[in-house]
Amino acid sequence: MNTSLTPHGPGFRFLDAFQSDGPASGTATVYLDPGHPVFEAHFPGRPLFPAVLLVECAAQGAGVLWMQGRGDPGEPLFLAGVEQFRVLSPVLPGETVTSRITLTKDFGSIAQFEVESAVAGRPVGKGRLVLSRQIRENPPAGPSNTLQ
Amino acid sequence: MEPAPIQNAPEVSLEILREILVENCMVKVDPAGIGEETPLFGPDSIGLDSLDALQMAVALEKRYGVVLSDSNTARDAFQSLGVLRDWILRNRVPGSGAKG
Repeated sequence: MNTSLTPHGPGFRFLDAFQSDGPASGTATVYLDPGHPVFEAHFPGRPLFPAVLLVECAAQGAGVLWMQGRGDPGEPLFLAGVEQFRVLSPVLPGETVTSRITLTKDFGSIAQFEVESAVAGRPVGKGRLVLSRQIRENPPAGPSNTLQ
Repeated sequence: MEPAPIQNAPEVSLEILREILVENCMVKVDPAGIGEETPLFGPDSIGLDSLDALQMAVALEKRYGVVLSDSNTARDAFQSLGVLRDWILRNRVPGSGAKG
C-alpha cells in the first residue's frame, strides 16, 4: 500500500491511491489484501471487511482531498462525525474499494464530505462524514473559541 | 430593502433558531440567556466552535434550504441569532427546505 498519502501507519492505512478531479472532489482507491490481519478476526473462517473500516477508507481519502494543495499532507486529521452512513453491500477480501468523495462544506478547521463507496461499480456504502484538524475537547465558553 | 415574504416557507424566528441551536450544538449556557445580539463565536460569546457551526449549517440547510458552505459565509451569518435570522430571510430560496 502507498506509504505517503496519509499519516497512518501501515496497519491502519486504507488508501492506495487518490485521484483528484478538482479542488472539491476525487476518488480514493484501496485494495483489500486478503492477508490483512483484520480478516483473521472479522470473522474467523468467514472474512468480511468491517463496515466501520469502509467509513475509514472514505475518511482517509477525504483527508487527502481536503489537504491537497495546502498544508502538510502528513498532518493528522480526525474523524469528527459520521452524520450518516449506509452500508449497501458486503465487502470481501481481495476486492478493491473506490470511494468517490466530494467536499461539501469547508469551515477552515472542520469540513464535511459526501462519500460514495463501490467495488467494481457495485455500490457498497454511502454517507456524509466530518473531518477536523483538531481534537475537540469541549472547551468552556471563552475568548479562545473562534470560528476560523 | 426588506426581503419579500415567501409563501408556505418555514417560519424564521429567534425562538426557532434558539431551538435549532440547542438541538445541534454544545450549548454550555442557559439557552434563555441567548438574546438577539449575543455573540455565538469568539470573545465574550456563548462559546460555540467550528463543529457547532457545521452542525448548524446542516440543520439550517435542511430546514430553510440556505447553503452555508464556507467559513467566510458562516462567520458573517453566525455572528448572533439576530444576524442569522436576517441572513436566512435574505438568502433562502422559494420552494426549498422543509415546510412548516
